Amino acid sequence: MCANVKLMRGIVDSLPFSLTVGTLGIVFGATAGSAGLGNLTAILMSFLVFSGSAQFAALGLWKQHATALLLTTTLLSTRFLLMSASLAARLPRIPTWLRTLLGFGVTDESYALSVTRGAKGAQISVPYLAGCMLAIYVPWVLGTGLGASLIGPLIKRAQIHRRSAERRLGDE
Amino acid sequence: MSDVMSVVIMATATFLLRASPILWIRDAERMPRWVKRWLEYVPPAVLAALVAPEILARTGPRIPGLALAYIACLVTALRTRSIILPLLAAIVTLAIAGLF
Repeated sequence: MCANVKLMRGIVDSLPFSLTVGTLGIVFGATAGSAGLGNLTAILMSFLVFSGSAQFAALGLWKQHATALLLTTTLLSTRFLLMSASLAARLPRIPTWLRTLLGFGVTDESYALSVTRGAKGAQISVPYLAGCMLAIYVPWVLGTGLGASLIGPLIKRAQIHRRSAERRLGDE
Repeated sequence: MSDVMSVVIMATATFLLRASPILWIRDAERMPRWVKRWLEYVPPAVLAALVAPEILARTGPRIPGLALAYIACLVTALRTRSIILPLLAAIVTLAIAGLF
């Protein structure tokens, strides 16, 4: 099978996760505003951090000391250390830039998909893994953008409307 | 600016943990066999550790039909080996349970 076919295969296999991760991204983007993050900060975070658990935890810690943020992110990311090590044991020899990209893209979903495919302990196809990662990264970032720019403000406006309606009812 | 700094701190921390094993172990062939064998047990252990607390020690509001949804999900997963079908089975079960 050629690389493009394997890449496509990874993307197609990941589509159910694209859907759930995209939705989670929207939720993250929409709630980031009320935690004190600007729209661009929220999108930048999804773009660079790319970890749902760490990012949702960060929302609760945002206005506190950076040490708390660092500690929480580190603790929540330790599981990736194990996943990454078990992936590394099954990867072929590939250049550093590709290793860097694959390392950045390690997530619960892409890990689960790529290690359960094929025989136990068999070598993992790099294009397939890249496809899985891409199909999770893109919806995560796009979802955050959509949530921060559109869904979040819509919810806020609806809340303001309801509050002013309640006030009017209270006056009568 | 400090917001951007916080994001960079988080990104660095998570990236170092995710990427360092893949960057460090450059040749899997030369890895000691006992390490390789040990690492073969990581997938089931990690995946179980991700799911088990959510099922066995869930905190948060009570969701009617959750146990049924887990069962529907598990049975569908075992029978179909698909990813989307167990998700759908769980969602449909929760939706139906929510009606009562």
